[in-house]
Amino acid sequence: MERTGYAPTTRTISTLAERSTRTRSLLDSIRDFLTQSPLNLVGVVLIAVFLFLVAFGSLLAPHDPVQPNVAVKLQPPSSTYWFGTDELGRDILSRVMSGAKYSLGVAFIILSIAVLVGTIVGLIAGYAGGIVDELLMRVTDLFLAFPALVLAMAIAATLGRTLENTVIALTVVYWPWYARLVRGQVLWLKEREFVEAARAIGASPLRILGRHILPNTLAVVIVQLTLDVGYAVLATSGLSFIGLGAQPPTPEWGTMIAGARTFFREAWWYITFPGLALTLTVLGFNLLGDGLRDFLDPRTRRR
Amino acid sequence: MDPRRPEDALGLLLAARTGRLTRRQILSRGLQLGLSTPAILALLAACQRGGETATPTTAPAGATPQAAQTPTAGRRESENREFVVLFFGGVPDLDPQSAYDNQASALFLACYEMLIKLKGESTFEYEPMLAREWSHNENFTEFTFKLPPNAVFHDGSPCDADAVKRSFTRFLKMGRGPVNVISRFVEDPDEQIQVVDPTTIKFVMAKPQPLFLAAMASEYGPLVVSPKAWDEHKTATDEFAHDWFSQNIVGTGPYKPVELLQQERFVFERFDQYHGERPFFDRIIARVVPEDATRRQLMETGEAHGCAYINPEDLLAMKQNPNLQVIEYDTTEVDWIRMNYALLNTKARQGFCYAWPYQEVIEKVLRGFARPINGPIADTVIGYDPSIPTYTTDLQKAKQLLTEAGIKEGDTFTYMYSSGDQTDAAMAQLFQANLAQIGIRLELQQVERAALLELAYGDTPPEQRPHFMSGGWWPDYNDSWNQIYPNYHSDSVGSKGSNAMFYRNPEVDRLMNQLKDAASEDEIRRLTGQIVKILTWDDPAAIFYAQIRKATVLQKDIRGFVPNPIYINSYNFWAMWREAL
Amino acid sequence: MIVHLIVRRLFFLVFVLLGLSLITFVLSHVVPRDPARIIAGPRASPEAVEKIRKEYGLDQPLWRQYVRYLSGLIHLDFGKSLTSRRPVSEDLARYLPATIELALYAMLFAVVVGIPLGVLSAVRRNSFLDLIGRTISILGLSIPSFWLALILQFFLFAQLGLLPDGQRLPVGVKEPPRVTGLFTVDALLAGNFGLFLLALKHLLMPSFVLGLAALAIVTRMVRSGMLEVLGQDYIRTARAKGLQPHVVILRHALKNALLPAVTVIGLQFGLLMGGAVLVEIIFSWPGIGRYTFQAIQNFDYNAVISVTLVIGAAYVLVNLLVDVIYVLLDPRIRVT
Repeated sequence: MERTGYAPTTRTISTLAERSTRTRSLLDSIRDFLTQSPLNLVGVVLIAVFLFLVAFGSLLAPHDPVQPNVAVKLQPPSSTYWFGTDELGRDILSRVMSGAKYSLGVAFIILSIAVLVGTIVGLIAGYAGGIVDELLMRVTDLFLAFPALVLAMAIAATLGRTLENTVIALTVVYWPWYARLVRGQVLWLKEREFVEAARAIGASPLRILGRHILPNTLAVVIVQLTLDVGYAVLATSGLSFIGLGAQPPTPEWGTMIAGARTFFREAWWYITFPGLALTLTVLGFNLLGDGLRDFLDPRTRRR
Repeated sequence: MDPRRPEDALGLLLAARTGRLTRRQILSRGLQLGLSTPAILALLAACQRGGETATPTTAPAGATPQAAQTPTAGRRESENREFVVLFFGGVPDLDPQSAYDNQASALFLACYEMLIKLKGESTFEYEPMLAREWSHNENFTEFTFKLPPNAVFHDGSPCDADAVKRSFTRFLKMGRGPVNVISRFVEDPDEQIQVVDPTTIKFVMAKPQPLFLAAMASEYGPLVVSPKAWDEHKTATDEFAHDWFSQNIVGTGPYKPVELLQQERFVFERFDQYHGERPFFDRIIARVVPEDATRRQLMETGEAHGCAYINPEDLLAMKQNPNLQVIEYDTTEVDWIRMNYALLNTKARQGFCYAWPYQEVIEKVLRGFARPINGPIADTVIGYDPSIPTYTTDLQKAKQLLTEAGIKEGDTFTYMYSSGDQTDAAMAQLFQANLAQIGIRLELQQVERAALLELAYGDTPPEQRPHFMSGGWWPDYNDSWNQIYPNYHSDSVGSKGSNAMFYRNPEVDRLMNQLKDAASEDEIRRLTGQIVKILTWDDPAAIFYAQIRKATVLQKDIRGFVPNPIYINSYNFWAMWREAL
Repeated sequence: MIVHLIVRRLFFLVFVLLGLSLITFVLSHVVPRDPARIIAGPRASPEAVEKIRKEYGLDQPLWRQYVRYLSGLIHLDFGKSLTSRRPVSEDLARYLPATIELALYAMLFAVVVGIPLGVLSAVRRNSFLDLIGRTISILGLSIPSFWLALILQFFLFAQLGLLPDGQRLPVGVKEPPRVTGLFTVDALLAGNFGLFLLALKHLLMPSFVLGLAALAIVTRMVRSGMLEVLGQDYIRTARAKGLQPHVVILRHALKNALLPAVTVIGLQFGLLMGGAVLVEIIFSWPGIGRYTFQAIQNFDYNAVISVTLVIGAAYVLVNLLVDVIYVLLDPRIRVT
């Protein structure tokens, strides 16, 4: 099981990443990237906006996102409540703004842990080889064979419905992908001259891994990471939507959409805005990830 | 009606008619006058027909739900003889002597039969179902039921007195689900149930049991299943053929099963050998639609014809829809928030009672499909005592009591409710906001319905349970003991009943034991009142926040539907029909 | 070498099944839930609960329950579902085809729309057309399926009445005689064209929503495959020879670009089945996703473990299939 959706492209990405950092300045690369396609720019802007909301959304929210005020329930968008109010009279704009922290922030946490665990497993498996590799990879494959959402649902249902447990569930789902990715890179890098050279002068395995191999796998991991943020956001909010993730009154977007279903007809704004926020966030990361891959992949670089 | 003082009843009746008195005032005055609850309720029903008790909001004039009484002749019947109802979830257990499930019993009323059923909207008058007539001796120790000679089961076997006895024997000996409904009265079916002749069956009691008929009309349990099917499908490991009955239906009802897909749909067809009057609909289909929004959409597009599971918000909107009738009715259901008896002292529980947002919940969340209640007994249930006061929100007082109870600002409490119910979530958040105002943190825990039930009715010690748990209950038949005992008697804690928060008050226990054997309505009311006062005020067991008013939504051409406060969310399929409009 | 590969993988399959069942089993038993209590219902007596506990073997120690489950598995006995009270294998036979049919149509949609879109994007790289193509496909990947499903259901069913709300057939319509379990196929086999159309109509909305995510992946694979092929020498040669551009693209480039793309698409199929959970819940689609969701909510261990095993095994087998095809097609590829 060496092949996955993204295995074929990863190898070439890293050569290019190496080359681009070596031969051209980072700023040049960024400028090239942004001008290559307007979509890349759109992606970067979207991400910037939502990252800003993750950091400052709840501070800047015009109203309290959780305090009910039933006197103004289900108000349509107005100058006071730009996105209208929900069934308990809470400002939807404020809830969407504070929600970025939960939907997007949680996705970051999930992926950070997954990358950490996956990278460690991948490095060890790839570098050690032999029986260690075999063992670690079979365990990895075992987790890959798990139907992802079923596993996540089972974990969330078993441990209880909280956002923390969503993090655990989705981390378990995501780490094997990174383990395989990194291992593939390590296997390939291990045979490269600069690693051989380091080994020849007697560098310790830890040093070889840390100084020579790890930095060279990062590019691949980062591209993959960008592509996965979108998935992770969707998975987090999807779990919350079916009630297994964030709990009311947490203004997580999936939870808000679930709550809005009942009021679809009377209050279009209620279901619309959290859904839009979710779509735009994921769109931003998908545009960036897709653009990055396109930009870094030599096969598609020029005709 | 009390024959001794007709003038009192008349005065009340006039007051009710002219709207001078509210329903509750009438009940209260009537009880002061010494009238019995059934009498007052009958009075109310009589003068408010089509009024408060059952209101079709958009039904054309002259087509009130009482159409069941109109003779079949002369009505303009539609060609469409199919009736599609919507359910919110699957029905895993179709064994009527084991399932203790609201949706299951709605299905059973299409295909199985009790011996008697509640009459119309009444909770204490009966009419024939499987039995044609019935009688009892003066001191309520012998009950005789007369069966029709032509009753047969869907499998063709005759339903005679012997079959009925065997069916009840199975129910009582199998001991599943709702067995307590009848085992309270009949402990030994072999001795106590007697076959007099093929069409006569007699139930003999050890002591006077005035409530036996009420229990026999419950839709939970006393339904008659085919003993032939039982014999054919019992196995060495399953002597009651429960496995088979949980997936198959063989009853005497007007409809027989065609397709039973327990998580998807149930299709019934008219049973041609039905012993009673031929029903209008050829087919009854129950479809499982878990999504609130989809159920509403299916009703509005006309694809479904009846649904009892619509949330209050949608009901308000659907009342404006000229293609639908929303039939509202009072129930015997009281909803409450149980409080953990082991973790919260009396002062604390009293304090929390004052912190609940009563008015907001009833007006803004339940949208008027509820009204305030002063304890676990609804005003439709015998034993209701209107003299007990009702809580109103008073955060000042709440704070004071909580402080006296030793609770400090910043203390955190847990509140558990079941997922999938928007109203539950909204109420929880309002309570949370109220407590936040007095510096108390409430942590909401949403769990699957199954998990909530398992925790509530399992053996988890009270210390490991949340501080609050939302719930609700209605009696199996019109009886206050049946409502209170499983929930608040110390015999019913943990897995022994539904006393999920381990409420233990010796005085309540003592009064309840007396109530079980109460011989007169006066005594029932007196004892119930004393119990309710303790449960609500002296040593609160729960926050009793609303008596529920339900609504069933029907297409505008459906006639003959009569809701009943005990048969909540069920349909009288046998009397319903569709008018050609 | 192929034999070696297959043997190795089948050995691995056993390991996967053991591992999956163990993990799911442990997971579902970590929290001391009492499924017997759930089955019995809220008002059941303790005796009734005890009876059920015995009936389902829930009173035995955990390891024994697990061993019992495994020994059943060997005889392809998945045990009894606690909620439907039927053998799980019966449930699977009923619900799995519904999901497969849904996923097939979703894939069909993704392929039919995705391949032309990908080709156009590649041929007119960085043109306005490419921009549109990429936007559509990426948007498809970005819209939360549950949100889109709700909105479509609201407009196409509730407001306009164009499409059914969900389900595989209207209530009361008889299912076609069961051959494959796929209603559209079975209806055609039975020669009932009307029923076929009806089933198809019910498939439209859910398979569109489900297929949208796959569409993005298909478009992307075809696009990058095309780009690579178009950059190669023989294409330049063909161009230089003066062949019509569309001949070059269709005859030469597409043919070569499609193979890897299709393989990846095949792998996505498994992903689709997993993604079906949310779509199935919203469209009341009686498939394996909704079944699993219900099972998890009701602590229906047998059902959850069985679904996990079946999907896990399918994943391993599909992978094996893909690798075998690869080896057969290109003997230079080394697969471990």
